[in-house]
Amino acid sequence: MAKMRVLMVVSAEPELKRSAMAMAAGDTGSASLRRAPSRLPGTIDLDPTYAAVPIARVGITPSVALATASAAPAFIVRGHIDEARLNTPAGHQVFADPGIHPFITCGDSPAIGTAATVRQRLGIAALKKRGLTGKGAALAIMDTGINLAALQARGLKPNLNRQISYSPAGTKPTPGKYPIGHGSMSAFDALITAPEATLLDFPILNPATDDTGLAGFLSDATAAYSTLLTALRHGGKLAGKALVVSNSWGIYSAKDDFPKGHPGRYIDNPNHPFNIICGTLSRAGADILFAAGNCGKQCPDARCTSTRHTIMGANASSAVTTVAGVDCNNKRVGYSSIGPGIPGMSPTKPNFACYTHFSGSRPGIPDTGTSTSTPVLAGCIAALRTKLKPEKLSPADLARELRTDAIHPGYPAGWNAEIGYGIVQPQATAKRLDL
Amino acid sequence: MPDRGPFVLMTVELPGRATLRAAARRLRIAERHLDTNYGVVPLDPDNALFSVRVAAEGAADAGSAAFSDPKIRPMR
Repeated sequence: MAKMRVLMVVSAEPELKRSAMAMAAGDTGSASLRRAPSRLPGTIDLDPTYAAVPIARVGITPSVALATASAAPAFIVRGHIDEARLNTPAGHQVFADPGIHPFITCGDSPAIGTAATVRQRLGIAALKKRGLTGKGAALAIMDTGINLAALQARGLKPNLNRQISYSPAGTKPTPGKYPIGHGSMSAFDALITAPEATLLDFPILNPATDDTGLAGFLSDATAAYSTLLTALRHGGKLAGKALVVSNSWGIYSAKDDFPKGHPGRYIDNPNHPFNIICGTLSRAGADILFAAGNCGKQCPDARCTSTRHTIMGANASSAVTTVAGVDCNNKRVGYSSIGPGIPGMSPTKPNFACYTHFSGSRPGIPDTGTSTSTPVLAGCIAALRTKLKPEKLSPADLARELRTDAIHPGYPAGWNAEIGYGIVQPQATAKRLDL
Repeated sequence: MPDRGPFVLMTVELPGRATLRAAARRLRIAERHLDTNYGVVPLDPDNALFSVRVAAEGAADAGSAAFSDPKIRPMR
């Protein structure tokens, strides 16, 4: 027979007063009930560990003045009852005592933790002691462009490679000098975990590409990736170096794409040119990270038209690492898109989770979205790449190593649709690999 | 990009010189339909695979598949 937890109101008697007074005095050790109230129905199994709570009312109006341990006419006690006998305690009313849970973090929730909290959670000090700071690794921020002065104003000392950059056709590249915005946030978040990595500024979402707001076209991303590919290949400016590519973008709705079943569709088609070049760049040794998206079912972004199969396109490619978001309490944020990936692409998406929704690049405003968790994890990988070049461990192999050490509080071992294989623990991976 | 009309992406194998003219010939599209600003973008150079951006009206006559070029947005 299923037992339900319930609350009951019973008339005052000395043991209830004693329990409540002990609790009020802070003496929790002796606040437990030593015997059941005399008028407690036999169908209720008392929970003696729950101290009696004084309650008073005049008519139906609660009275604070009367609700003291010494003067209250009645007390609340807690117990269990067989579900089938819920209606039988004659003359007594039982009240539900349902489980309560913390509200899940949503877009309008205040920040949880700071950049320092993220560093602490990810063991960045331990990585630094091992010399894993991202030094020598290139970290491409595929975004709206970086404002270097804004990063410096926040106390960072960013390295920027101005020779390897990109701008959409018809615009002149000005790496490090773009308006402060989403790209600067992404760069800041990457540098939390890889402070000495060298940034590459790739403004594929330059506001100038579209007068309707922050947007670009997938063709711009394709051309930008080609620039990276050329640099990474033999004889290129990044040849032999580690390259980590952070992508905090995607498409929010299948309606932005060709219709379902069209052979040229993007979101579920590994043969789309952009999905092809992701594979090529990954095989060339680049660690590519994509945001899972912000269409989680608890509080999806207003632009989402669905909360099912919303990890799509390159964000669901087997050639990339897809990143969900958790807050600094290790709880998934409600807007983080839930897997699996869209049919046609890799099902086991997201791959990992990392931290978001903390106070970081902008005072008083949280860095939010899987836009934030992605560069934070990209920085972790850049840090590991300080001493772990891709010719020694490929991007896919490094992802497998991260899986071994990831934690998944509240989830069973293995992959799950909310946080993938779990929250990365780069310091544990560095230690295990003896970096 | 100023005054951008509807475009699609197309993939093309170019074992020889990767030029717009070669791409247009291979795709059987008039060269004027190819976006010259975009050029010929390597997708998988080891397999001589490239991409071009084509005006949607021009791609309609092509024998090869046209791929979508959707807008992309930040996940903030």
